[in-house]
Amino acid sequence: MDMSPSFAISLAVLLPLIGTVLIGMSDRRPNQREAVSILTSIALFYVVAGFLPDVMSGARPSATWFEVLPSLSLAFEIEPLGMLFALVASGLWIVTALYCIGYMRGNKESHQTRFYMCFALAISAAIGIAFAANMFTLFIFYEVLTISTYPLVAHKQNEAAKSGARTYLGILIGTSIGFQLIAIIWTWILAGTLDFKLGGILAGKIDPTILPVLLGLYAFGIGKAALMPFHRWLPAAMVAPTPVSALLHAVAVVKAGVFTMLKVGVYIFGIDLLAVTQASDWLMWLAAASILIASTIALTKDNLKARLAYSTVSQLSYITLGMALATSLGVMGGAMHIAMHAMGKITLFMCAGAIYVATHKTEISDMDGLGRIMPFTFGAFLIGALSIIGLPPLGGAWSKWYLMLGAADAGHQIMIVVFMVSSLLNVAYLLPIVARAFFVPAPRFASAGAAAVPVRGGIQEAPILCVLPPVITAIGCLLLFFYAGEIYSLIYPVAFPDPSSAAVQSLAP
Amino acid sequence: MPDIFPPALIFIAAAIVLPVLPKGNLRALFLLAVPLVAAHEIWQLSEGVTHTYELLGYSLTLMRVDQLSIVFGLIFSFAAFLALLYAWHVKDTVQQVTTLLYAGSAIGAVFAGDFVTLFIFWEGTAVASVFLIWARGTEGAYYTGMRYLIIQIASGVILVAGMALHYHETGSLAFGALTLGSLGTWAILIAFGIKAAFPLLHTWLPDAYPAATPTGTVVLSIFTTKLAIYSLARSFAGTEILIYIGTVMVFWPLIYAAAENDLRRVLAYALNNQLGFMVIAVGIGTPLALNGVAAHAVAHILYKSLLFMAMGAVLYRTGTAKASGLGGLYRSMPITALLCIVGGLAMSTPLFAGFVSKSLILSSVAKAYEPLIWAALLFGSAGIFYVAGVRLPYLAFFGEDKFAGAPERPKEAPWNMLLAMGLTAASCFALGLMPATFMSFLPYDVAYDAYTPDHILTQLQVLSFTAIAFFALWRFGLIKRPAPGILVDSDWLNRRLALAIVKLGAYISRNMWGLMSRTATRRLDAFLASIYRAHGPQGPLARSWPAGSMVLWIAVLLGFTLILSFSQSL
Amino acid sequence: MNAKTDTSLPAIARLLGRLDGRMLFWLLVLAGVLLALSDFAYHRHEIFDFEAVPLFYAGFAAASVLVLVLAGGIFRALFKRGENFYAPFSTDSEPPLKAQERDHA
Repeated sequence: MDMSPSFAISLAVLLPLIGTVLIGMSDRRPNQREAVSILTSIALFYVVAGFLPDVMSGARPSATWFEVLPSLSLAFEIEPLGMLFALVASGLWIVTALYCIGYMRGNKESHQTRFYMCFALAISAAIGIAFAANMFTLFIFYEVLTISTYPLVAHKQNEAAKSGARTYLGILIGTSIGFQLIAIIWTWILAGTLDFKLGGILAGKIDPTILPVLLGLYAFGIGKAALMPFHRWLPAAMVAPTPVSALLHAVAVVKAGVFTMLKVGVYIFGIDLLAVTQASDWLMWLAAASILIASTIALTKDNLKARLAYSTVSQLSYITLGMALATSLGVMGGAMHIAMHAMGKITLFMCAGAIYVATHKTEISDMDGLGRIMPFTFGAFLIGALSIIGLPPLGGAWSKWYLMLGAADAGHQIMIVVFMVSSLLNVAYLLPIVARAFFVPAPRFASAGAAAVPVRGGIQEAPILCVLPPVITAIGCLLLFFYAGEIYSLIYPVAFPDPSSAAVQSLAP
Repeated sequence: MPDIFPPALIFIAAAIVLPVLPKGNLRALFLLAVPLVAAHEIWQLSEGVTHTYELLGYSLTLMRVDQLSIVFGLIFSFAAFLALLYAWHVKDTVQQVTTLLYAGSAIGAVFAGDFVTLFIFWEGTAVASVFLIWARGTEGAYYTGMRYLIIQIASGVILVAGMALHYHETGSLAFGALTLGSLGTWAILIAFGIKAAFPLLHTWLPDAYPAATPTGTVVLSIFTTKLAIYSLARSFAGTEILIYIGTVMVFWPLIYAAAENDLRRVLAYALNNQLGFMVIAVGIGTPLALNGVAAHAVAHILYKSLLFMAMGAVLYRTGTAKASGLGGLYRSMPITALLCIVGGLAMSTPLFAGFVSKSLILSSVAKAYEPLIWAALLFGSAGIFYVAGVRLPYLAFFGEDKFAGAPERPKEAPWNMLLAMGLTAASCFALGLMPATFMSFLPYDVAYDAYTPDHILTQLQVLSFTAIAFFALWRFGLIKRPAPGILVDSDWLNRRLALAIVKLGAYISRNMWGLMSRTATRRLDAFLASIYRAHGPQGPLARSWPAGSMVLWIAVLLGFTLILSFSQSL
Repeated sequence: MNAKTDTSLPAIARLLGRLDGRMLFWLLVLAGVLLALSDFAYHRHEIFDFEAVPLFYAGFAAASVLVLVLAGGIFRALFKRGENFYAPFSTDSEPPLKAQERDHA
């Protein structure tokens, strides 16, 4: 690409917006509309991936749109964490764009143009968050993301959808303005800047005793990270059509949350500052509790999407916990988990949607025996589930490994136990779905005594565009295990910054 | 040697190819060829470390070849061949694929040179094997499989936690000898211990194995536990605590085996008892003892497979493997009966593999001068012959003819089962007949002669008096055919007691939560209502609760922010 | 019908039928007595002192069985429950496998 970096960044943020307009213009022509959606996603991924070689070789492409106040501007800079998040969001958008077609047509949903428009808008916001050069820019796009996804959550426009969307908007806007904005303003007053700087901008500028308070304002203010007790918006958002749950509420929106969490930890506070002051200890415990409680709640949910939503709440806290461990390997594990969990969870959601399209079943207890007629869907589900559990040779194994190493480095062996117990809870709430679908006979066969005999030629999968995408992402989970090294080298400069840049020295009494 | 394809990958590649092959004889032949090709590869291996690869900066080893790994690799491949021959008639793709993956994972773990590779295959055995239980396709099998899987994966996550701690401490991921001491090494020992069915960690074994399909149990009985024994021998040879753990394993499961009704569960407990022999020998840790471990693993895999095959054939033909519903089957399944008796004899009779390997272990314990442990092993030898060599065949095939009045007598086992059992019996015999060849495969070069007059005479005395005691007690009515029913093992603690506690806790917390949230909501409602009464006009702001109150809150908080920023700038 | 003479049974079954009676027991007793007597004729190389006791192995084996039978009886008395104790979470109380299920499995 011969574009200047600043033009390319603007293009990346604006491409989905252009897509939004074009989609709006092709309202009456579904084929054209969906072609635009897919082409935009591919173009976006192309542009985003174009930054990768530069970023991996140490460059930090940047762009400034305009200055609001002196030292406060709407500006972008691509660093490794944002690169990773943008790659994940834009890459999985392609798969979801395909999936949307199968799902929305298969279900004969209404208002599809509005749906595709908001979808593209949300991606634009996600890219803006990923590339933001300072907390101010990030906050703006954070709010755009919330608002652009609101119509998607309320898509069905019935009472349940409206009520779910109200909770969604209420918690996300409430926490972001009530806590995050305060934290941002406070940070600005303390540090005189909001720019993301490796090693943090707060060292030496804040009394360590109130550091946990500021961290708390951020942690709860980033509602999208779904840290308990501000997690309710995520299950509430499950009233949305499944592609929304898949890309936005397993990847873009929630990952924007934990991505912001990592950014705040690494670039605002600085890992060293957190480690020295132990300001994030309480957050670590809260994240651990969030992991275990959400997993336990997931166990009790019979609705498949609700179970997956609580699973997401739990898995997001892995990333928060990784940051709160305040060790290099914790950050590495957390960052890796953004990609690993995204790939695994989007697979699970797309499978849930495929099951819904094919059979209109939403409750796990109704899914006995379905595996025999939908082997590809449930096969993909199995692989996604195993990746979430953290079993090799699937991507999820590596992020858990680094999180465990990070916990060992931090001297918090008990957190290793939390990860272990969480893995087992994952087994307990994810694998029964597959096992029952494949091996427990469906009620109508049971009486015939032909329980274990597969119905010959009885495969009745959802439309190909609903089944292919989860199969692709399931294969992605497998590939991530072998290519995790690339993510490792991408994140390395963030997790293991040059010692000379560590701002902790200035903190010494 | 790098041109050798790692045997584990042969199995895995075959598992990927298999589903596209047409069901039938072609596929069955293909299945049989896979372990033979792998065994051939392993046979040609020479000692050394090959196939090292880089993953995330870790230098990992796929093939660490030495005499210990070769012995286990060979017996795993050969036993997989026998089990697949036994399952020739099975048409279920899921079971075929998972059997290959399971065998491949176990063999991969055996050749792993580092903990990361071990962990990959360790979890592979856990996930692949559970399908052999689920394949039974009943509600009970589903739940049993879930319990089994959770325990197996628990072993894996404890292993990975131990690895992380160990790596943090030493910076090494080599799968080699460890010294018990740090938290990490203890975690690794417990991870191994779960799969090796240590006391109190053992309940998955008698729980799950009887629930699998007739052919699935044979496959299950081969790999998981022996992989754990291999890992213990690799990392914890000479660790004293293993001697005592092993001793408990010799006693406790034997009592259950002596009282149990389900004959496949009897074998599962008997298997657990035999693992005790191996764990003790690992604890002794001398070259002689470790030779005993390897030899006994080989012999044990063969004769235990044979017994599980015989009981599988009975289950396959009659629909049950419970002693209470069997008896007199020799009339219609005579060859199976004969092979089952051979399986029982193969455990410890001279001329069979089990005699050689048991003598090795007993001698190593005697040489280490552990009289009590030695006596425990002698008790175990007699006991295992009683439960699996005499009581089990007798209950299944002799005594009252339970099928006398049946409209149709059960048929003899199918040819492939008989052939598999025959080959297994022949291998036990061959190894017993050629102890020198058997010994030449063992990891250490230690001279040992199992066939001394002392060994033969004493062993024959033990066996004959065990049998005499059984028949005598049977005649006196002290040993009876068991009535239907199960024996509760220590898993009652988690399946009943812990479940009850969890349910109680859930009930309490649900009600507490409900009470708290109702109170909180009421308070909040009252609070907001009072604010509205005081300040809010009955306008659009107040009409819809969340939107209105949100804006109000935002205003309050923005004010707070202002004050904050003001105070800072002062 | 007597299995020893039932010609409808295969030859192996008739052979096994001969064992299923008193004959096997007395054969075993005969073998046992001979083996036990060997203790007096042949001097073993003991490692432990207690091995030297005549009939040690024979007695130990018989005692082991007796102990096991008694312990098993106690365990049965204490821990035996109905087959449906864990139902529906275990296969114990499930009906015998049907023929077609067995063929599938």
